[in-house]
Parts: sequence; C-alpha cells; structure tokens
Amino acid sequence: MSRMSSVVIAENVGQGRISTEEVVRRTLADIRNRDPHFTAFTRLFEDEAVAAARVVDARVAAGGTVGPLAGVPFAVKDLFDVAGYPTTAGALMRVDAPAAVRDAEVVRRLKAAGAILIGTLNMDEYAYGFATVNAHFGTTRNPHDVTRLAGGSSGGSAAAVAAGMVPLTLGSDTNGSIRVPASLCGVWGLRPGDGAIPLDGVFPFVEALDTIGPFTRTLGDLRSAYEVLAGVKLSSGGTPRVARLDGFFAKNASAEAVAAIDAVMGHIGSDAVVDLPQAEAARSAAFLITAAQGGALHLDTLRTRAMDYDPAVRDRLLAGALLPSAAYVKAWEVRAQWRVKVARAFEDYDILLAPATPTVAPRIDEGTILIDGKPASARANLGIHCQALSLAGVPVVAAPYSGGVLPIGVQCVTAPGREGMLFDWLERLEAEGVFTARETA
Amino acid sequence: MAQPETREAIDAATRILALALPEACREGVAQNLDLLRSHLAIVESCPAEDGPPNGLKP
Repeated sequence: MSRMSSVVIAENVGQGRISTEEVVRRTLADIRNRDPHFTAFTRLFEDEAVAAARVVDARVAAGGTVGPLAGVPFAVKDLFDVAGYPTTAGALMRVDAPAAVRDAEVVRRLKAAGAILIGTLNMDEYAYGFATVNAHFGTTRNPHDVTRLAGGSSGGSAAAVAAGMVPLTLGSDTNGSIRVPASLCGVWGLRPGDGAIPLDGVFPFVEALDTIGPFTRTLGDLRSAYEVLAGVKLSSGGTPRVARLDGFFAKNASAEAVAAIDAVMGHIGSDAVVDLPQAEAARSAAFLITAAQGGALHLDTLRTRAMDYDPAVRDRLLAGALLPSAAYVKAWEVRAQWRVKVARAFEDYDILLAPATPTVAPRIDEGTILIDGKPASARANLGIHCQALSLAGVPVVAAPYSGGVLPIGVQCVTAPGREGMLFDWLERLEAEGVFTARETA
Repeated sequence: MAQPETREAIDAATRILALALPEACREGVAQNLDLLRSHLAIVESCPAEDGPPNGLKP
C-alpha cells in the first residue's frame, strides 16, 4: 500500500474503497520498520496523523467532499513549520527552539486538500550542502544503494519517496537541493519558478534563491501536488520546442549524465543545442550570493554559538559573512545580465535540457566527485549544473532517466507560465518509458 | 592550505563584524574564502553589459 501513488490513494479514499486510517497505520509501520536503513525521517507525528486520518474517513462516510489529495500520507523536510513543534532546519541547536505556532502555508494547503502529515525529514544543516551528511542527525542513505549518498540538501525527502515509504514529500531548493537528490534517488522533483509557491513558514536560507517543491514517484503525482501547492490548474500547452544546453552545462558531465540527455534528444529526434554565454559566471554569482546572504542570516548566531554548528556548514557560513560587499554587488549585476540571456533563449525554445547532477550517486565513504578533472567536495559541487538555473528563477523539473545502472536525472527547464506545456511533454515521455522513477528492492 | 593574505583579511573582517572567530574554524574559513575568491574572479571576468540598472534586487 505504501507504494501506491497519491492519485490512486486519493481516488480510492474518496470512493470509500480504502480507509485513510488504514493507509496511515500501514505507512507508519513501514517507516518504523525500514527507515533505520536510510535515516530519511527525523520525527513521526503518529497520533496526529491517525487523528487526521479519522477526520478524512468520517467525511467520506458522511458523503462529504474531500480534497484532491484525500488520505495521501506526506512528509516534509525539517525546515517547514509544523504547529506545535520546533523547526530544526537540521540543526541540533534548534531542537529546543520555540514551537511553531502555525503550519507553513504549503503544509496547510496540503492538509486542506486532504493529505496527512506523517513526519519530518533529514537534511544538510540549514540546507547548506548537496549531500545530507548531517553531523547531528546522521547521513541519509540512497535507497538504491545504501553505501551511496542520497544527495541534498533535501536528501530525506528524496529517499523517503524513492524507498516507497510515502508517495509525496516536500523539500526546498536554493541551489539545487530538490534537483540533486531527486536525480541521485531516481524520483521526480520540482523546483518552481520564483514566487510560484509561497515560502511562508519555511526556515530561510538565501532569500534571493529559496524555493520549495515536491518529490514524487509519478509525474501525475507531481502535477497534482504542484497544483495544490501553487493553487493553480495547469493548462495544456502545444508542442514544445526542445533543445539541450551546451557549453558549461556539458562540462563536468559524466558519461551517465550525457547518455541520459542523448537518449531524450534521440527519442524526440532533435539535435537542437543552445549555448548560454556566461553560464559559469552565473553559477559563481549564485555561489557568492548564497554565501553572502547565508552568512548575513546567521551572523548573530555565529557570534555567540559558532561551535554549535555542523563544522562544515559553520565554516562556509563564516566565510560568507566575511565576503566584501563589492563581490555581492558584482554577483547581482551578473544575475541581471544572466536573466536577460535566459529569457532570450526562451524566445526560441520552450524546454531546455541539462544534467541534474554531474554524476550518479557518489559513495558515502568517498565524498568527492571529479570537477575539472580533480577530486572536489561532493557536498559543495553536486549542484554545479543547477546553480545557474536557480539564479535565472525559472521552473525546472528533475526527471528520472529510465536507463543506466544507477539513477540519474535530467533537468527539464521551462519559462514561467509554460509549466503546463512542460508537464504534458513529460507525461508523454513517461508513458513512452524515457523517464521512470526507479523501483527499489 | 589557505593563502596567507586570506588569513590577514579574516583578521580585519572579523574585527569589523565583532566576530570572535574560534581557532578551530580559522583554517576552514580561510579555505572557503579562497574558494569564494575564485568564484569572484570568474564573476569579474564577465564583461559589463547594458542591462537593468546595476542588477540590484528590485
């Protein structure tokens, strides 16, 4: 039952064929039994989940209307406010923080649609990393191979879905923190366009780049979640013009990452290529803005509690706090130029393809990947192909390529307002077997 | 190992911000600043173009 899609659960619950309480109890039992292998969950809300399930069941029994996600168990990265609990943002120093007084707006929207909140999920401390190696809460392991990273910083969100423990989770994506773990865990992940999904009640990281979005095992589930989260009904689009991004986006891509995009382009019979100039500078600008805004956000806490941070996160935040303002201003200038270039590319194309990660999941005991031919920190570099697209503020779906031995994803990038066209195109490719979320043992 | 001038810059910047940098993180911070400096070099190699006024957040 835990591997049923959101759409199937909601349909069966709505028609009274299965009870939400049964779905929730089985989901909780499955998580208790299997999550110790993955370290995806940080907390379970067992009593609240069962109580909420009974409310949905009572409404169905009374012949009332239920929402599009009726009875769907979901979990959230541990930076979304949940009323009555502290929002840890993956930091041990926040375990005793004051409890949130209300749910984050997106948690409220999912609950209003009938979904049942099951628990919170592991992450890199304060979302600063691409690995979900957390000094306090442990390393989230990839359900396809537990010796490998799940990716991050929303690693718990991706692993929980990939392992089939829940059909829907939420994560955040500042520089690639949804797209990277979705790629490595072989599931669907969506970074929305700027402002499409509200951030109220989400622990911040980088105001200029923060977004939140869903992970699912089917594209239909991703669509239904996005429509609830964004409060929109996606309209159908026409036939998209598709090209692959070259230049910086082809550099540092492994054979597996290149093969995935080759397969998509071959399947649709296109050889269109776009080389966006200054992509490398855009990635560096995102790096600098992240460091500066992240450092500024944490400055007061760094003054008083520096030694309470995860050391790897602390040193990055401190360096960001010390960054001269001239560097920050220059990064914003590049951002403005880059956005114009990306907008121009979407005059000729509707969907642009790029690797979601440069490689498949690295082994946990290695912790490095090759960048420019040299070993470099996986934690800092797995999002190398994502960061420039974050700076552009455009919607991106990380789509799980069906080929290869280990999972790898493809970033499918579109212009704001063309999400419906992107989803229609992806549904065709999912039906034709090009993109498929991987089953785990 | 971080660049020597980075260490001097850290001393100056931490004084401005009233940050008492623990000794345990001095080398890690310096290495991260060197990394940020390499990214700044890439950003600064970008030619200036006409565009929205200085690109600051609206």
